[in-house]
Parts: sequence; C-alpha cells; structure tokens
Amino acid sequence: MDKCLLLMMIFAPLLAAVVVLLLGSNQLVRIRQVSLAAALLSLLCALHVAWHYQSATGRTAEEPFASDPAFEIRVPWLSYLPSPSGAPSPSIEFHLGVDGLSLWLIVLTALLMVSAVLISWKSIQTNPSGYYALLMLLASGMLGVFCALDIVLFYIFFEFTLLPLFFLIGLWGGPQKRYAARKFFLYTLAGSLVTLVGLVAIVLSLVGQGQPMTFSLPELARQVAIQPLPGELQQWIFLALFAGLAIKVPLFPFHTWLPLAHVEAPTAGSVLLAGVLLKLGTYGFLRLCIPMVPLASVQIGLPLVGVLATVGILYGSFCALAQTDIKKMVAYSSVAHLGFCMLGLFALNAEGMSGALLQMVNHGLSTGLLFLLVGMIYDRYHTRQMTALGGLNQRMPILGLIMMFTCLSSIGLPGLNGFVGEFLCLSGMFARHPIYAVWGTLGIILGAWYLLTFVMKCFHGPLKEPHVAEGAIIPDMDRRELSATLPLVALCLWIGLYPKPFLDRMKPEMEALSQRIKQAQKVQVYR
Amino acid sequence: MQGVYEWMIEASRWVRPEMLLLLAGSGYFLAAVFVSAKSRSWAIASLLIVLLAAIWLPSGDADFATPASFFRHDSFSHFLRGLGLGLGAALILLSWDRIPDRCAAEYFGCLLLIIAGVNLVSAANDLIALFLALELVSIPTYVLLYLLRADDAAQEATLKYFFLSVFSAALLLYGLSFLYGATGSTNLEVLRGAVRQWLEQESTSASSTLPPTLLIAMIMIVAALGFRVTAAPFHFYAPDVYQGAPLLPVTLLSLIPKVAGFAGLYQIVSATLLIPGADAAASPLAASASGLFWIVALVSMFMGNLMGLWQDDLKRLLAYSGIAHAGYMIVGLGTGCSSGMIVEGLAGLFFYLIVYSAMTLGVFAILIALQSRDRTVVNVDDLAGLSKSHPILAVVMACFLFCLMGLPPTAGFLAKLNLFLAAWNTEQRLYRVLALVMAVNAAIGAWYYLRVVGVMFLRDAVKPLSVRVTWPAWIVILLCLFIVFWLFFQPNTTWTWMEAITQRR
Repeated sequence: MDKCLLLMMIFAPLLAAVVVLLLGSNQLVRIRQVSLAAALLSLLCALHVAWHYQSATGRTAEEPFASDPAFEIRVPWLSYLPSPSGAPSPSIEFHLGVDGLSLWLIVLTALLMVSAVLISWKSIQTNPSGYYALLMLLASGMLGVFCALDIVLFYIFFEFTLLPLFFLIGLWGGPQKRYAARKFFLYTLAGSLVTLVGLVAIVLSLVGQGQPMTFSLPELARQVAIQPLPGELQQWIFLALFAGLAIKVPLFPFHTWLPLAHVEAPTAGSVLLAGVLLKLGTYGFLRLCIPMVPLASVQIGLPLVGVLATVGILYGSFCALAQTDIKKMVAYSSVAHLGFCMLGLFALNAEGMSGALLQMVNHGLSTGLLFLLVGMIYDRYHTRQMTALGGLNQRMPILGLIMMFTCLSSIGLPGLNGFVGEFLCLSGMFARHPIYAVWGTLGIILGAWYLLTFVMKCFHGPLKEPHVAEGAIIPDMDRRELSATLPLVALCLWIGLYPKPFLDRMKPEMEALSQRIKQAQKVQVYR
Repeated sequence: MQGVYEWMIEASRWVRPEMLLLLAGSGYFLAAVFVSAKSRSWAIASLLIVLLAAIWLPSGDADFATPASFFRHDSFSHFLRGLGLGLGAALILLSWDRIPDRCAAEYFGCLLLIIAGVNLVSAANDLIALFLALELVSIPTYVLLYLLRADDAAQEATLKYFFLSVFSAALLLYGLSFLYGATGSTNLEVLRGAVRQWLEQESTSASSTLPPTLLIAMIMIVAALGFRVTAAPFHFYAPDVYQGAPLLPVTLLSLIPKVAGFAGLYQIVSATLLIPGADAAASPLAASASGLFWIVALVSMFMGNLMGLWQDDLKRLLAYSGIAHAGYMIVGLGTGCSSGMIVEGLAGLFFYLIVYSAMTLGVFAILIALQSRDRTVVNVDDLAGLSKSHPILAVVMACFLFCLMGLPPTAGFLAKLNLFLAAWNTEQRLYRVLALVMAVNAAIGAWYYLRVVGVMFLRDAVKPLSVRVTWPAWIVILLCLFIVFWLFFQPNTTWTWMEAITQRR
C-alpha cells in the first residue's frame, strides 16, 4: 500500500486525463466529476503521506536525524555500460520518494489542484474535455517534480509541466494568449536546457573523480559530501543551473515572461503557475544547487542572488503599486515575494532555508488565494480594473472578508502564515548579510502599501460596479467557491499560529544542508 | 585462385535479401513495358518483397565475416539493414495509391533499388562495395525526383541534386583511393589491420608512422558523406531541392541518404579510428577526426537552426531541421572517437538515428496525408486550424514536433540526453563546449517547431482542410508515434542493443 501511494498520487490525475479525453466535450458534468475525484484522490494520498511521514522515515524523538527519504520506489529505466572499474551498471531510474524538502510542497500542490478544478467549474465552457485533461496532466507533472529523486526524472517532470501550461494559456487565455504562451514556453525552455547541461556535468564530473556513476539525487549528494567538486567547476555548474532556475523563479531581470503569462492565463492556470510552478525554480535551487555545488552557492550565489532578489523585491513592489489591473498587481507581487524566498534560501543557514521553504508554501497559499478571488471578481464583473470597482464589501461581504484576510496574510501580519516565513527568511539573511535583509524589509512595507490600497479602493467606500444589468443580483461566494478557498484559509491560519509541525518535518534536511555549507566553507579556508 | 563465378557466389552469400530487392526492382522496369497495373498493385507487390527480404535477413548474432569477403554481416549491419527495410516499407505505404499509374512501376522499382543500396552500405566490407552501394542509393534517387512531376521547379531541384551528388561521389572516390594507396587493399579488414600495425609502431617509435594521406582521405570522405547527411557546410542543396521536389521523394531524401551516410561514416570510422585493443585517443588521426567532426557539428547545428527560424515553407523548414539534427548526430560520431566511455557516443548516434527516422517520417507522413487535389499544404500557415478539422492528427503532429524539440515524454529527449552525456563524458573541453552549444541550439530550434504547433492549435483556418486520411498513412503515422513514445518509456532494450553494436567491432 505504502509502495503504491506516490504512484497513485501522481498517476491518478494522469488516468483522469485519459478518461476525460475519452468522455468528449459534451459530458461537461462527468468531466468535472472525474477531474474533481482525481484531484481529491491525489489530495488524500498527499495527506496520508504527510500524516505518516514521521513514522515512515523512522524518525523518533530520540533519533530525529534519520534522513532517508520516505515512501521510496526505485525501478531501473535506462542502464548504461558499467564503468571500467567494474561497478554495477549505472542507470537512470524511476525513483520517487518524499523527504523534508518536498513534503509540504506536495501537500500544497495537491490542495491547489482541488481549488483549481473547483474554480474552473463554470468559467470554462469551450472544449472542457481538453481543458480538464491538460489541467490533470499538469497536476501529474508538478507532483512528479517534487517526488522525483532521480536527477533525470526530476528534469523530465520539470520540462513536462511546460506542455500542458502552454496549451492552457494559449487556448483558454486572455486577449494576448498566443504571445504569452509562446514567450512563457520558449523563455523557460531556453533556460532549462542549459540547466540540463549543468545536471549532466554534475553526474559526469563526479564520475571523473573516480566515484561510481549514479543519477540518484540522495546518492549524488552523498558523493559530493565526501568529495566536493573543484571550485572553478562548481562555479560553472552553478551558472548553468542558475540559467534555468532563475528564469523559472523568476529573479529580477528574467521575470518579464511572468506578468504576461499570469495575466493571460485562465484563473486555474494563474493559480497553479503562481502557486506551484514558480516553486519549481526555488525548489530546484534547494534540491540541486545548494547540495551539489555548496561552495559556488556561497561564493557567487550569495552576492548574485542577494542583489537580484533585493532589486526584485523593490522593483516588483513598485511595479505592483503602479498597476490598475488587479491580476497584474498580484503577478508583480509574486516577483517580490519570490524575492523573499530567494533571500532566505541564499542565507544558506538552517533558519533562512527553512523560512524559504515555508515561504514557498505560504506564497502558494496566499497568492493562490488572491488569484482565486480575483478570478471570482472577474467571473462576476468581467473586469479586473481597480478604477471600475469600489465598495464591493456591500455586495459581497464574505468575499471581502476573505480578500482582506488573504491580503493580510500576504503582507505578513503576525499571527498569519506570511509573517512566519518572511521573518525566518529575513532573520536568516540578517545573520549572513544584513544589508540585503534591510533592503528586503522595505519590501514588506511596500507590500502593505499596494495590497491595502487595493482593498481600500475596491472593497470600501461607495459602491461602484461596471455593466450590471438592471435588476441583476451579483451573488456573494457560493458553496463551491467557499470550498475552493476555505481549506487554504485554514492552512494559512494554522501555519501562522502553530508552525512547529511544519518546521519540524523539514528540520533534519535543513540542518544537514547548512552543515554542508559550513563544511564547504571550511575546506575553502584550509585551501 | 578462385574463379569469378565462385567469387560472385561467395560475395552474394551475405546479401541475399538485397539480391532479392535488386532482382525485383530490375524486374519492375522490364515488367512495366508489358504489364499495366494500378499504383496500389505495385505497392502491394513491393511491400511483400520487402517483407520477404526482412524474413530472409540473417540474425544479428551470427557474425559471418571472413576477412577477405566483399560483404559481411554482424550486429551493426543487422540493425541498419533492419532500419533500411523498415523505412522502405514505410515509404511504400505512404506512396500506396498516390503514384500516377503510368510511372508506378518505375517508382516502386527505384524505391526497391534504393532500399537495397542502403542495406548494402552497411553490409559492405570493401571500399568498392561501399562506393557502389552509395551510388545504388543516389542514381535511382535522381530518377525519383523527376518522375512524379516534371515542371520547372522539379527540374531545377533534380539538376541541383544531380550535379552536387555526382560531385560528392567523385570526392568520395578520391578519398577512398587515398585509403587504397596507403594500404594497397580495398578491404576494410585489411585496412583495420594496417592501422593497428601503424598504431603499435607509433607507440614504440618516437616519430609518427601514420601515413599523412590518411588524414586527407578522412577529410574527403567526411565532405562527401557530409553531403549525404546534409551536414553544413555541404548542405546548400537541401532547402532548394526539398522545396522544388514533390513531397514523397523529399520524404525519402530526408531519411534514406542520412541513414546511408551515417552507415558509411561509421564503416570508415570503425575501420580507421576505433581499433580494438589500441588506445584510439592516442592516435593522432582520431584527434584530427574528432576536431573535424567538432567543426562540422557546430556549423551544422547553428546553420540549421538559425536558418530554420526564417522559413515559411514547410519543406524548407524541415530541410533546415534535418541539417540541425545531422549536427546533433555528428556530435555522437565525434565523441565516438574517444574510447573508454560509459555513455557511448556512437550508441547515442544510432539511438538518435532511430528516433530521428521515426519523428521525421511521422511529420512527413502527416503532411503527405493532408495533401489533396484541391488543397495543398505548402506553408506553415496552411496548417492553421488543424486542431479543429483533424484534432487527433493535430495532437499526433504536436507529439512529433515536441519530439523534434527534444521534450519529455518523447524519445527525442532521451536521444539528446544520451548525446549530452556522451559529449561531457569525453573529458575534452571542446566537446563540453559542444554540449552547451547543443543545449543552446535545441532552444533555438524549439522556436520554429513551436511556431508550427502554435499555428495548428492557436489559430483558425481561413479555409479549413477537408481531407480524409487513408489507412496506409495512418499505419505509418501510428507506428512512428508508437516508436516515439516506446523509446522513451522502454529505452533499455534498444539502448543495450545499440551499445552491443558499437562494442562488437
């Protein structure tokens, strides 16, 4: 049962995609039901994994540092010739597993999938079988990235997510959909191909040092810990990995595809794009960059990412401040929030990195919520212009309340999830390099400015609504919309009030990583 | 001393399936005078003959090479002869009833001769056999290019191809004559033995004993066969010829000469560079050859992909795509010159060759299936709205295009990954740079493939296509699709096979 759990989680949506395609576009009700069932099944599996995670890893109170991934599955897939030294034949494997780095991102993905299906319920009327099939494919791809423990399998899922999203944006998007889809696809593909060369370089450079060839991420990390790669090579590999991951995150000068893709995508697409797909970049840094090339992460990663992330925070915030389109504002706020994540990651201490991981989940929750709510407003009024809206609290008190809550969580109000994450990120960075943290803090203030201004303009004051036909009543959130948002709201509160269970489960990995960094620096000093 | 008759029997023992194809092909030309039959009948007959040849193909385990024989058969030629027959069968299926009855016999006759030629290239164990087999591919191709349509464009395309192909044949012959001059024999085994002796002398004595003519021969041969595989800078004919000629011969032109060219290159490389037991990397010839391949691969990739960006004509676009893919495959050939690697570049090359054949054939098969009398598909824009008129076909086409881009979950990804691994595995800085160049090129190439996908899915047709796809075309399309996915999900059997091929010699 435990063996099949991850398989079921990843492949239930894939199966649903096939079923949905076979159903054809006429059976709208069935299509939705099948997709929702698959998303719920995935979520159940993910929750089961989270619930039994501690016992599955064999961690107890006495021995909290057993760090083998849980729920592992390994099947050889493509075997190469054994190396001359007579080692067993190395192979690319279908290797899945869950550890502290991926656990919460898996739960987040499964949760957002349910919301994404629910939010598309009524707004997607053209060719629904294609739409839901692509959405389900995307779910499989995203869950696959987080579960993959083989370096090539990771990349395969990483690239695979591009395909469904390209079509989702290109076919169901807004007025500029074709341009947005193409730019998104080519931009991310170009970067990630260079990343692939970096991954190949990691594997084969270790072979060049006399280690047996392996593609398994945990084993690679072990090999690197025993015998790090030479400094100059590390820097090249870092830059290669950086090329793809920084575009995916996106860091400041590489972010131009993001606002466009976000704004043009259908609501579910934006939710998943912001909630999960951007995390593939930060997760990639955490999973590949920092463990494999720790020295280069300190030497060039810290200054490079520090500057770019800080600039990104400020630039993103100011851009968000200038927008009148709500969706665009949220898109730019993502650039800023991901900047916090990156600052936390490249603090390279346990505190900062766990903050970053938590902030990834937080951003997924709160920005996912923001996109959901904006989508609901758009469904009702067919506009996203702040100037056209006002006093919506009078019409939709519940939506207004949830919007206020979400904005506060996104700003980082103490007691809500954003605060915990941002605090850890910034305090981690403060310990490493105070300047970046100080400038980053400014971003929080700017965040409060643009989000609160938006709430004030649109939800308070005198009622202002566009194109409402005489006598038509704009309804408040219905049960479907509530069930799409409330689980996320609850999770926001939980992380804000009691983050310990979340932090505990990632702690061993974070400790190990920061240990790795310290060790790398020490070796550097001796040299 | 053997008599001529015994010698003939001895030589033909290894190549019975090809003898069958040759006899049948020649028989067609004669029969065409007396029999008038429909295109479909000739196609069915040809398909049966190819099947018979496939059944007759000796198994790959048996290595009946006798050093002096004119032909040999081992796992390498087993694989390539199988590939040749498979491609031949696919081309026959695609041509099914699209050939005018007046020239059907000649068309299918030429096709059978060409298939025999491809197979003989990989079965050759002698420089003369190699040259004759390559000519057996070329000469019927000239006929095919002109047979179906005799307008000005086709005439120009045929002439262009004819003159350049003859020129490359002359170059090849010149290069082979240098090999003969250096060893005094045209036999590949003798050549291999001679190179081994030189290498052994080289390791004991200080001065170089490898005759410098070998390098000249190598350059000539690479230039001549580079023409067949459309590697830059020998590619200039390809876009013009592709554009001018009818679609069916173009499909043939984009597959068959590539397979034959790489088979020929491998024959030469394995005889002069990859000597078992000798350290190939130490041979100065291997170093120069890998440098040569490096340049050709680099130029081909950039030339193909950058020029591909500007094309509107689908056949021109596919011509440039073919040039770029030839570049990727030559990366595999170049890395094959270093020894002791875990990820074998030559195995990568052959794996890529299968995938390339499947995906290119798939794209062409769809284009052929979409042609009709009243509506031709010439430009990229003619595909607009395909997802509305032929949704399944559009999805399949997208799969082939994503495979050409090298995206998972298609075999195109694994094919590229293997070449990346092989290039990095050489431990040479130059080839590591080439791996990076490959990545950049794959990204550039993605642009024009994605344009086709975008046109099919994201735009509506001005005048929708209304063609019914015939079943022979469907068979080819679905088989290609199957290969494209099968080789991604179950690559191991094929990869082990490819590795075994490259280990054998």
